[in-house]
Amino acid sequence: MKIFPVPKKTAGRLVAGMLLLLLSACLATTPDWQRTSLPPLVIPAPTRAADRQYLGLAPETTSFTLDQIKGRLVVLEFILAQCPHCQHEAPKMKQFYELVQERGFSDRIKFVSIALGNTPLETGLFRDRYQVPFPLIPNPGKYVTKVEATPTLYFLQPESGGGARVLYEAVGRLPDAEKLLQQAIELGGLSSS
Amino acid sequence: MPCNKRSRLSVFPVFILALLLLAGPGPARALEKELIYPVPHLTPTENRGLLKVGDPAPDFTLTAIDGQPVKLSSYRGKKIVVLSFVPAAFTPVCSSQWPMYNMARALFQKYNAEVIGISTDNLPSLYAWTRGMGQLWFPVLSDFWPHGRVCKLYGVLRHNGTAERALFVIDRQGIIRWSDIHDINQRPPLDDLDQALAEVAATPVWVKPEAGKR
Repeated sequence: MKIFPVPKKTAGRLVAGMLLLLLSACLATTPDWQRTSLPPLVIPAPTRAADRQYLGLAPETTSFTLDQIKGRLVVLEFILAQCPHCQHEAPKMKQFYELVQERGFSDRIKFVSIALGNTPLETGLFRDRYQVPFPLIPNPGKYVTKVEATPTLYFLQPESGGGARVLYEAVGRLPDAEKLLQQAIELGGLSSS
Repeated sequence: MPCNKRSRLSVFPVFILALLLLAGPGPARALEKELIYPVPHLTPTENRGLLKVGDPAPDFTLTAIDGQPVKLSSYRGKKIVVLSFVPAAFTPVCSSQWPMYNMARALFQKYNAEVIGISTDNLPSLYAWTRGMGQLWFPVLSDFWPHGRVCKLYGVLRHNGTAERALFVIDRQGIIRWSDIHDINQRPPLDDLDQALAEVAATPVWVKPEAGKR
């Protein structure tokens, strides 16, 4: 990229002007639905003992908040069992989980998926159909939280009090498992040790 | 596009970058939502129920989106049939009902049941719409012409030519065992259908209740 000789003042002003335009464009196009943090969420506890163990929850837990999960980064997914996009992306989420296990991050990166508005029957069918390896929790009553579309995927750093800092958000079609893992490691500040 | 004026060339890459960021990779869902026709709240149901439990299910033949004819009575002695009438392709609730049945194939297999989807849309519309649902394991039939003929037989044709959001469970003798003309604005709960199928599977032949008993 050649920078042609120009009067320094003019070039400087032009670049500054373009950068300002760039900045305002970025701010203008940030969608409203992108969140930088989540408020405290109360999540129904998974019913299977193995799922509770995986998340580090006590056996008698009926509901939990994100900061109760034993891990450094939480991968939180919101789905609807009847949503074709969620069905399409389910194998990718499975791959992502398996990669996390393979690369030795399973104690630091924890997965939770919530099926908004779905009954245990519907959720169980989805889990079996796509062999979901991580806790998939039915949420038939009041939604844990509203999302703009599904699947919505968050990488979160839980904070005391139950809220969380959003490190990453993806909606609809997800990047591939390898990319998701790289993002999680980078954004979560997780070393490979 | 590149200008000949030398003084502009140094900011050209920055300009292009700005354009690219403005264009941006919009969320994938935006394209899907554009294909869904916004529908206001509708009268929940217009029809009461022409057919009752114990009535024989009216036989019919309609063409499926794969071009093949499907005849209801061909399932007699073979499978329980779930008829799923939906109002219209490319509308919100309908777009989630069949994907649920698609995902829940194991449930229907458990009861040896077939799902048959029907709407009054024409075949090309049904075909285009169901492409977004992934590979459907059940047939989808068009009741477009004569318009709503089968919907009429089942008492589920609305005044505007769309079907009610209605479900019928038909046993292997061709008898209607359960029906739900559901609030058109809501997705019928899968749990209700599961319960109905369980009951039919448990009592394969319909027994008329004694007089005086419900």
